[in-house]
This record gives sequence, C-alpha cells and structure tokens, in this order.
Amino acid sequence: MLFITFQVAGNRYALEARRIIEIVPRAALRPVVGAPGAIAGLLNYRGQCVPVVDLCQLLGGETCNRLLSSRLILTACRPRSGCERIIALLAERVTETIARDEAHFAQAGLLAGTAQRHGLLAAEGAGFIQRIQPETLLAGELESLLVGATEPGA
Amino acid sequence: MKVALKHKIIGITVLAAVLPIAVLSGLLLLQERTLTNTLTDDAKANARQEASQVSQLVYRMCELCNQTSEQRLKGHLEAATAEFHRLGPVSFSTNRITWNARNQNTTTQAIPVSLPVMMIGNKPVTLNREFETESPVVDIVTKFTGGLCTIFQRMNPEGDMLRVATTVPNADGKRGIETYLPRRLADGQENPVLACALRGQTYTGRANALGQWHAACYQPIWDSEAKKEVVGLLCVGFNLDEMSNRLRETIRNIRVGKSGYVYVLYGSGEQRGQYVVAKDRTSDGTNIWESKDASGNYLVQTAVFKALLTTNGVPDFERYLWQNKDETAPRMKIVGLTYFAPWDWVIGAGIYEDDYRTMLVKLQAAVGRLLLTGPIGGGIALVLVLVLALVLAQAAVRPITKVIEVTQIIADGNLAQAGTALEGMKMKLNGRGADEPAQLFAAVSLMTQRLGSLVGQVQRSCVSLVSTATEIAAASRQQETTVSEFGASTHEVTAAVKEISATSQELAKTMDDVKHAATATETFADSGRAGLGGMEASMRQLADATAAISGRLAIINEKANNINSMVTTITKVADQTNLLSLNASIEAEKAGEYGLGFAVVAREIRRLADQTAVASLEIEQTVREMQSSVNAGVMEMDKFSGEVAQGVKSANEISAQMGRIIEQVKVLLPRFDTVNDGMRSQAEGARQISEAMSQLSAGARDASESLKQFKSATEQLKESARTLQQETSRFKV
Repeated sequence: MLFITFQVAGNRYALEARRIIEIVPRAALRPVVGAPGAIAGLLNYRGQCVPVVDLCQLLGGETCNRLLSSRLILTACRPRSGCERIIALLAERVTETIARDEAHFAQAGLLAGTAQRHGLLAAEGAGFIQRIQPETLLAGELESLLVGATEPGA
Repeated sequence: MKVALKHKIIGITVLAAVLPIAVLSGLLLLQERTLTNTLTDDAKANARQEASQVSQLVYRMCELCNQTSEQRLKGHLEAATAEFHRLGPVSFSTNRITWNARNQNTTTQAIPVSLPVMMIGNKPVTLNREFETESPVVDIVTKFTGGLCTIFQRMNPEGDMLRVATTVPNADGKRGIETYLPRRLADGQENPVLACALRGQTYTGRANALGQWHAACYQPIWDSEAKKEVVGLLCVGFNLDEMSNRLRETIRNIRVGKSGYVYVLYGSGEQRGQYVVAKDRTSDGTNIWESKDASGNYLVQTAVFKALLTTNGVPDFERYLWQNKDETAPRMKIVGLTYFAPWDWVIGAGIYEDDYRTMLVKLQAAVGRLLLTGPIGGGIALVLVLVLALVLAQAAVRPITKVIEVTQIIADGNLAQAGTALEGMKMKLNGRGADEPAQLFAAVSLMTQRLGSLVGQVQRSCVSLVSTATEIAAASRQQETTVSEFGASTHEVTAAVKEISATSQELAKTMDDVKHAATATETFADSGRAGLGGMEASMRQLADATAAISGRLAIINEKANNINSMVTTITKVADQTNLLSLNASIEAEKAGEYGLGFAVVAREIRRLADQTAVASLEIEQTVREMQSSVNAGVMEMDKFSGEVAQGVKSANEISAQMGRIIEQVKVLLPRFDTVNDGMRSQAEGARQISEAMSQLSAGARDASESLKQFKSATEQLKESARTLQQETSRFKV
C-alpha cells in the first residue's frame, strides 16, 4: 500500500494514497468568520467550495508554517451519516511517499481512545509514523459542522 | 669842461622845472587820438549795454506779470470747478429755450437757436440777462475770486459754443449771454480755443471775449462720466487790459540814457506793427508797420523780424534813424530788441547816439585846452625858477669855500689852528639856523675834534700793539709744537680706520654667503613643494581607483542577488516537480497493477526534484557567503578611501606650510641685500674716514708751515707798528 507522508508539529503522519484525490499547492483561502480555529478557510477547488482543515492547528495547536512544502491534501470524507464530501487537509512537508503493508501499522496499546482518534502507529527510522483516517480525525462537532452545514436536508 | 658848482645847481633846477611840462605836452599830443577813440567806443558800448539791460528788464517784467496772471487764473479755475462739482452732474431737461445767438466776432444778424435746458445738478441754466438775478456757478465764482466766469453750451455738431451764463458784461452793462464762439474764424482758420476744448483738453491763454482781451482758461464739460462728448465749456478769466494798462504806464515812464525810451509793438497777426506802448499815450494803437527811413528801408519791419528771432529775453540790436513827432530832425538810435511771445509783444529799448555824442565833444574840448595851457605855464615857471636858482646858488656856494680853507689846514696836520679858525666862523654862522652849509660847518668842526682825539688814541694804541705782537710771536711758537703732536695722533687714527674698513669688507662677503644659503633653501623648499604636489596627484589616483573597486564590488553584489533570484526559481521548479510526482504516484497507486511502472517513473522524478532542491540550497549558501565577503570588502574599501582622503588633506597642509616657508625666505632675501648694502656703505664710510684722516694729516703739516709764515708775519707787524708810531707823532694834538 502506498502512503503519502507529512509532518505536523514535528511528528510524521501518513495517509493512504488511494484516499487522496490530489495534492495542490497552498492557495489563497477565503477565511470563514466565526468558525473554529482549525478551519483555515474555504478553497476554490475546480469550481467546488472546499473547507480547509489546518492539521497543525488541530493536532498541534499551532498554525502551519507558510513553506513551499506546506500543501493541501484533497480527500473525500465519508462521514457515518450523510454523503461523501471533499475536504482539504493543510499539512507541512507533504513531499514523500512510502510503500508499507497494512500490518505495519499497529495499535500502540496505550490510551485507546486517543489512538482511535489519531490512528495506528508504526516505527519508522528513529521515530514513529502514524497513519490517520480523515473520518476519525474529524469526528465530533467538527464533522457535523463540515458535513451538516452543506447538506442540511440529509 | 669844468663847470662851477653854482652853475650846476642852476642847470639842474631849470631842467627839473622844464622837463615834466615838455614830456606831458608831447604825450598829450601823441595820445589825443587814441583817447578820443577809446572814449567813443566806451560810450557806444555803454549805450548798447544800457539799451540791452532796459530791454531785458521790460521782458522780465512782462514775464513776471504773465506768471502772476497764470497763477491767478489757476486759482479761479479751481474755484469754478469746485463749485460746478458741488452742484452735481450735468444733464439736459426736456424743456427747450430759444436763444438769439450772435457771433461774438462779427456784427452779423442774430440767429434763433432752440436748445434743451442745461441742468447743473438740479439747477437749470436759463436765459438771464440781468446782474440782479442770480445765475448758477458764475456769480459765486466771480464773487469769491474777483475774476470773470462763463458757462458755454454746445449749439451744434460743428461745436459752436453759446454763452448761456456769464459775468462778462456786454456794451450795455448787461450779462453778455446769447453770443457764441464760432468753430471757424472769419479767415477760415479753426478757433484755437475750441480746437483744444473739443479734444477734451483745457485751454489756457489770451482769448477775445466780447471784444476785449482776457487771460482765460477753458475747461470742457462732458455729457457724462464716460466722457463721450463735450457738451459745453466752463471758462474763467480776467480782463487783461486792466492789468496791461498799469504795466504799459510803467514801461512808458522808463527813460534810457538822456532822451531814449521804451516802445512795445505787436509782433504778429493782424495787429502786427501796432503800438502797444508808444512814447506818448496818444500814439498807442497807431500802426507803424509801413514806416520807412529816408532811403526807403522798412525799418520797423526789420526791427520786428530781428526781435522775433530772439529767445528768452536775450536781446538783439538794431541801429536806425528815427524821427519823433515832437522833434525837427531824425536822430540815430540804437535799439535793444526782445520778443515776449506769450503776449506777442516786441519790446524795443532805444538810446539816442547824440546823447552820448554831446559828452564826447565836451571831452575833446577839454583835451584841446590842456594842450594849449601846458607850454605857456611852462615858460612862466622857467623864468621864475631861473631867478630863484641864481640867488640860492650864491648863498649855497659861499660857506663851502670857507670850509675848503679849513680842510687844507687840517691836511697840513695843524689840528689846533684849524680848531681856532672854525670857532671864528661858527660865530658868523650862528644866525643862519640849520641849513646844509651850517650843518657842513658843524660836521667839519666835529670832525676836527674827533680827529684830534683819534690821533691821540692811535699813538697810544701803537705802543700796546708792539707789545701784543711780541706776545703773539711767543704763542705761535708754542702752537707749532702742538700741531706736530697732532700730526702724530692723526697717523694712528688712520691706521685704526683702515683696519675697520678691512673687517667691514670681510663681513659683507660673509653676508653674501648667507644670502646664497638662503636662496638655496628657497630652491629646496620649492622642489619639496613640487614633490608634494606629485604625491597629492598619486593620492588622488589611488582614491579614484578605490572608488572604481567599490563600484565593481557593488556590481558583484547585484549579480549575486540575480543568482539568488534564479536559485529561488529553480527551487520553485523543484517543488512543482515534487508535487507533480506525488500526484503521479497517487494516480499510479489508484491504477493498481497498471500503474506500477508509472509509479517507478514518478519516484525517480521525485528523486531528481529532491536533488535539484539540495543543489539549489548549496548554491544559495555559497552565494550568501560571497555576498557577505563582498560587503566586508566594500566596508574595507570605504575605510581605505577615507584614509586616502586624509592623506590628500595632509599633503595639502604640508604643501601650504612649504609655501609659507618659501614666502618667508623670499621676504628674508631682500633684507640680506639691505644688510649687505649697509655693510658696503660702512666699508665705504671707513675708507672715506681713512682718506679724511690722511687729508687731516696733510692739513696738520700745512698748519705747521702756516705757523712758520705767521711767525714771520708777526715780526713784520711789529715792524709796521713801530713805523706807525713814528708817523702819528707828526700830528700835533
């Protein structure tokens, strides 16, 4: 399986390549007044209005650095209820791919609730790499905000 | 020829009496003609001068009167204008008045003219002939100024002006209204008053009003503030005849010389040649333009033309024969002529030539009489002088003969006998007072006494003289010794002075050496300055070079910046490539089995992109290092440049100091010359002293010689004193 790796607040993460629609450079975003800090704004992606989630803000409490390698990862999010929708994840150092087996990632066996939310860990080099799932990452009020706002009738 | 004293006295006396008379008579005869000519010329010049002065005087009088009247007129005009403006602006009402207008210059029939009524403010100018009834403006002006005032109204487009209100009286003693000033005069000329006024200007001058001449001022009245048309005239003036009558009488009373007088004629126009002031009042107004003299010359015309050519009262002259009415024959007169243009007056001040001729004839008679009486008086004086001379000569000569006798006795040396003779004569002469012979006696008597005492003294002196001569001889011997000692001292001084002279010359030479050294110093300083100049130039070149290097460094810095921007571009490309390969990998993964090959390509591309990024990072780092080196270089260059500038400044200062040194040495050089000159002159002085000392030495020798001679002379003196003693003993005292 191919993973795209990136970095948030000094820690490495991975996202399954098949889940990714496209990686685009960070473009001008339209800020959303009154939204939580993790919502960096709205992106015009090929005519579609796509909400951008700042992973640095969400996972590290800091805004992403404005580097060339800070890019937007466009992914289709499938919530537990409602229809699929595209969201953009903003992360640093979105430059590498790794090919790993699914079994390479395992439960850390510690703080089960947290792992559930942030995904499985794998030892990689001198540190760790954590595999994330957008749906679990965005669970809670953020998910209802992102999905429910656009599809109130669903 | 021997002439006795008596005859000499007579001769001198007569000559003294006759000579002045003869010379005076001769001179009178010689000078008579010159004297007469000079006096005649003088008299003529005086006459001319007098005529000129009188003529000029009258001219100035007229000028003064004219100025006074002009000033008076100015005052009148100001008063009239003020009154006019006080009443308000001029307008014309719809009412009309018919005036019987009559040309003031002719006797033609009056013509009726209907004109709108002129309004000054709200006062209408109506037909008013009586002085008892008031007319606006004019009455007030006359009351306050004493002059005359008139308001004219324009009659027609031609510009004829009708008197509508006036204080000028007509022949009947009424107001002189209903008369008008025609634009064209009888001879077709334009009336100068109207020509001036219709142009909108004020006319000042002599003007005819109802047959009498006035000094007048005409000011235009405009229809409105815009001054489009002259609708009337405001005129002020005063009768000139009154003033000129007084002036004419003053002029008539002026006398030039004994019987000369002043006359005034009009100089131009119709009145040309008409008397303004004649010799007697009855002739005033007579025209003498056509007067001729015996040979048919128009003498008045000539005089008038001459006068018209004069300017500013500087007179010209005319000489002609003139027959006065009350005289039997014409007399020649000289006339000083001036022309007073403002009044057209030709002023002639004439003086008759026979007035001064009479004086000349009297003078000539006096000279004739003098010539006649001179020689007769001389003859009488001669006879008287001769008799007187005979008596006086006799009286004068007798005592002198006596004195001669006494003198001969004195000559014989018998002073005692001479004294006795003189005593006897003195008795005889006592009655004669103190005339010259008596004085002579007194003098001879005194002389005899004094001679007696003198001879006694001489005899005594001779004795003391001999003893003195002996003493002198002794003294001179002693002096001789002193002089030889003096000679020796002089030699010593001469030697000392020669030594001084030699030392001075040596010193002068030393000064020359010093001067050469100073000149050399100046030359070295000059070359030193030139060297500094070269150094300064090199410094400047260095500064220029430094600036050039700084410029190059700046260029390098700019290039480095360019490289930086290129590296940025490369980095961006690498980033894009990385992104592209990422997306390619994703797509290949999605394609599953089919995308495997493509995935490898995508990976390779990403590797290339990464390498490119690393390389560009290195380049960027290198460029940054280079830039920091360049910046350090620039700073160093700036510092160096500052030091070079400091060097240039120091070189300049040293150069200036060198300049001052040269200047001082230059100032010093002429002083060396001065000192040198002083030295030379000192040497020269020493040499001169040396010479003088030599001469002194020679002088001492000469003195020694002279002393010897003096000694022998003393001996001779002694001898002579002895001889004198013997001689004086001859006199018996």
